[in-house]
This record gives sequence, C-alpha cells and structure tokens, in this order.
Amino acid sequence: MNTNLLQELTVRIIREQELVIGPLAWIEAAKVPGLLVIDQRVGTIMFTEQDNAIVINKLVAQYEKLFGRASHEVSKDAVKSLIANVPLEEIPSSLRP
Amino acid sequence: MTPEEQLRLTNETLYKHSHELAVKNKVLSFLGRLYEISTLTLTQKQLAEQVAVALQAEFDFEMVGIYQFFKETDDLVPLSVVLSERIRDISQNQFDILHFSNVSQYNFLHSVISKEIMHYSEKLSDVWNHPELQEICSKIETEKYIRSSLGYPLIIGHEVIGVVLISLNRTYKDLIDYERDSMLNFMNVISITLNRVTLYEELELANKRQENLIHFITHEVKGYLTKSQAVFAAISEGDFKGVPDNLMNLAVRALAETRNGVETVTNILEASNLKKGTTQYTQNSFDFKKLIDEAIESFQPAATEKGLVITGDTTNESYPFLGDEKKISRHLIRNLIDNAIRYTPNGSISISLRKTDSSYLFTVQDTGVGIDEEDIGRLFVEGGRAKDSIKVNVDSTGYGLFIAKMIVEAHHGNIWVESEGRGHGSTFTVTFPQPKG
Repeated sequence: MNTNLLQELTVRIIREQELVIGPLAWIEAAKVPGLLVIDQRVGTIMFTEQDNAIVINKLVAQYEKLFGRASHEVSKDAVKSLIANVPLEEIPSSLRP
Repeated sequence: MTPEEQLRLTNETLYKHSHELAVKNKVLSFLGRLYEISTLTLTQKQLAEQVAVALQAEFDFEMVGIYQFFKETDDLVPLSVVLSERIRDISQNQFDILHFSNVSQYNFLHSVISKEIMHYSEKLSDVWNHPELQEICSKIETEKYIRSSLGYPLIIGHEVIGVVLISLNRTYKDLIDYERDSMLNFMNVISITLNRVTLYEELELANKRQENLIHFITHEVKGYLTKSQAVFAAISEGDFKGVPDNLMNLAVRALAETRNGVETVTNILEASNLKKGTTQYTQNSFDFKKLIDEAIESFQPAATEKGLVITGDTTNESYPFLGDEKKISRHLIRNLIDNAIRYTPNGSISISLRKTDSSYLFTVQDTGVGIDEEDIGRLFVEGGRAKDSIKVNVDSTGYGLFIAKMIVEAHHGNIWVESEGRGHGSTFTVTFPQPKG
C-alpha cells in the first residue's frame, strides 16, 4: 500500500475518533511513536518510521487501550471505503475485516 | 474490581455513548447540508448535481445517479450522475448521458419503481444492463471496483418521482450503521426537495405562460377598444353632421366607458410589464412640485363637481427630481389624487409636499371612506382592492396602487397608507430620497 493511502487512512481514523472524543484524538495520536502530527487543522501527518502499517496498528491500539473494543470498531469502520479494493495482505492487520 | 478497572469501564461506556451521539450528529449534519442545498437551489438539475456530489464525497461511493421518472412515458432520465475518478476513467462519461427508455424492461429498475422499496444487487450488470454499457460494466467488474449497487425509489405520496442509484466498493453487509441509517433518511429528504423544486419550476413556467397570455389578450383587446374609442370620439366631437341627439348622447357615454376600458387594459399591461421587468424608465430632471400643482389644477373640476374641497399645501421652493416624469405623474400623483376623489363622498382632500433632511415627503389625505386594517394589506398587491371598494368605485381595477408601488420602488422610494378605519379617511404617504448635488 502506498504512503499516501496509508497517510489518508491515518487521518481518516483520527478524524473519526475526533468526532467521538474531540481534540483528545489528536493529542493521543501525537503520542504514537513514528507518527508526527504536522497540522491538526488541515489534517496533515507524517510517518517518521519505516513500517507505516505498524504505526497505524499502534494508533488503533492507542485508542483501544483508552476506550476499549468499541474504539477499534470505529477505527475499522472509518477506513472501510478506502481499503475495499486493497489486497488483504497489504492492509494493516488492525484494520483487516 | 480495582479502581483502574472501574475507570477503564467508565471510559469505555462513555466512549460508546459518545459514539452513538457522534453517529447521530453526523447524520444530522449531513441532513443539514442537504437542507441547505435544497433551500439554495431552484432547479432540479442544480439540486440533483449538488446532492449527488455531496453523497459521493461523504460516503466514498463509486457512483451516484439521480434520475427523474416519467410514468406516462416509462422513462428514467438522468438529472445528475457523479462518478469516482477511477470509474470516470473507465466509463468516459457513458453513464452520465444514459437515459432508460421503457424502464419496465429493466428488471432491477422496474422492481425499484413498481415495488417502491430499496433494491440491492452484487452484480453490476443487473443494474446497468443497458446494451451500451456491457463492455464498461464487465471491465469494472473485472477490476472489482464495484461490489454492490443499491436502487432507492424517490417517493412523494404514493408516486415514484425518481430513482437514486448508488454503486459502491463494498457489499451491503460491509456498510456501517451510519451509512445504512443515513441513506434511508436522505432519500426522503431528496424526494421532498426534488418535488419542491419540480413544483417551483412548473409554477414558474405556468406563471410565464399566464403572463404571456394576459399580455397577448390585453394587447388585442386594447387594439379593439382604441378603434372604438376613435369612432365614439369622432361622433361625440361633431365630426359627422346631422347626428341625432339620442345617438350623440349614446356616443358620449360609450366614449367615457371605452376610455375606462382602455385605462383598465393599459393598467393590466403596465402591471404585467412591471412584473416581467420589461418596463423601461426614462431619466429626466423635473420639478416634483410642478407635477403636483398641475395635477391639483386638473382635478379641481372633478372635485368641485362632487362638492369636495381640494387643497395643495407645498412650500414655495422647487423640488428637483430625477426620474420618469410621465410615470410618476400618471401612475403615482394623479392616481393617488384620483383615488382620493373617488373614495371621498364628501369633505376634503389635502395634498402636501415637504422636504426632510434627506427625502421628499408627499402625502394625499382625504376625509373619505377610510380603510380597515385587513384591507390595508390588500391594497398594494396585483389585482388587490379593499373588500367593498367596488361599491364605492365601480371602475376599480385593482392595479392602480400596485403599479404606483412598483414605480415608487423603482425610484428607491416608499409608499404606505394609514387610516383610522372605516369612515375615518385615509392618508397615503410617499417618500423619495432627495437627489444629491
């Protein structure tokens, strides 16, 4: 999966979590190692680690640690339309159907 | 349970509640956007385009098509089709122009329309089994860009007015609750707004036709009346020798009535032109006071004949004005004075003109029949007249004050009436901004 799509997935997850928990979503995202929030207002992030899929898994786990299984489903639902045509093995494991 | 576990559980419960609220909020916010679109758009095409774009962007759909259904011809005509970039690349606009004739022969679409419920299919060719699309559909299916398609009927009352076709890259069971719930809600909103816009368009067309018809008829009638007027005028003004007295009297009466007829038809034509915005105004400099003085002088005999006292109360200075002198004189000043005379059985009429800091204030006050509150609202509208006005003034057309108001407003002025009620007279006031310099 290309970096642009992975960045899009990440922002989509954070934005969806933001609808539920507010600005805390961005605060928690900024704590994830390998993820740099550049501009929260326009929604730009950057990966600072090689394996971007792992960073996404860590982001999903960060929300789940605080808010439980329901938050994991919200993250998965948020990206459903974006990953529908991506081969299963390329999808970060936390987001697989 | 440890305090940490309790805190985690509370956190999770709160999250679930917040999530439910967030989903509702999203639905409401999108509905709000649809309502906003519906209030800001006045044509079907525009409305369908904006709704389809909003739906496609909000849910990442591959295709959203909004179609209007014509029951009489069994046709489904596209109002708007919005495609994702990759579908557009493959289809080269073929979907946009697709018009379904004899919808009954397309099973999927026919079921949506006849059963009036949402239909679903995982085979693209079920939905788009149009001969012109076979190649494109098989290409899209090979690429697996579209996994399922939904067809929603747009219903008003018990009538299907259209269909929304949605194709997406997931199956129906992969849709999240928000998407499933929202779509049903949105279809109702789309139906209502589409219907409102359709009615508006039909109304506008009917109005335009009616206006053209009125224009045509009145124009023709005016032609006949003008010819009759010329004949009666020739007889009553003595152009023919040896006209018997009884024929002469008849011609004089007929001339007066024909003149009233011409006046009425002219007013209707004038009102129609004003409404259509085809009235042309001239811009010339004149003295507003002079027009009032001339009008008072010309109405003096009619007032005296009724036993009314008509007085003018203006300051001795001039009132320079820039505008359409003829229209202001005929349709405003003379119309208000003429009305005052007609609706005042006895007493007086006083006309005044004053300057305030920035405007001219023109009033026509009478001691006539007065106007009650309910009638005041009817006076300045097209064809509007007070309830019993026809008893006092048989020639009332209901267009005079409407025309006066349009002309005043075209000159950036205001006109209104005040009355203490029936039997207490009335005062018409007109203000115009003073010309600068």
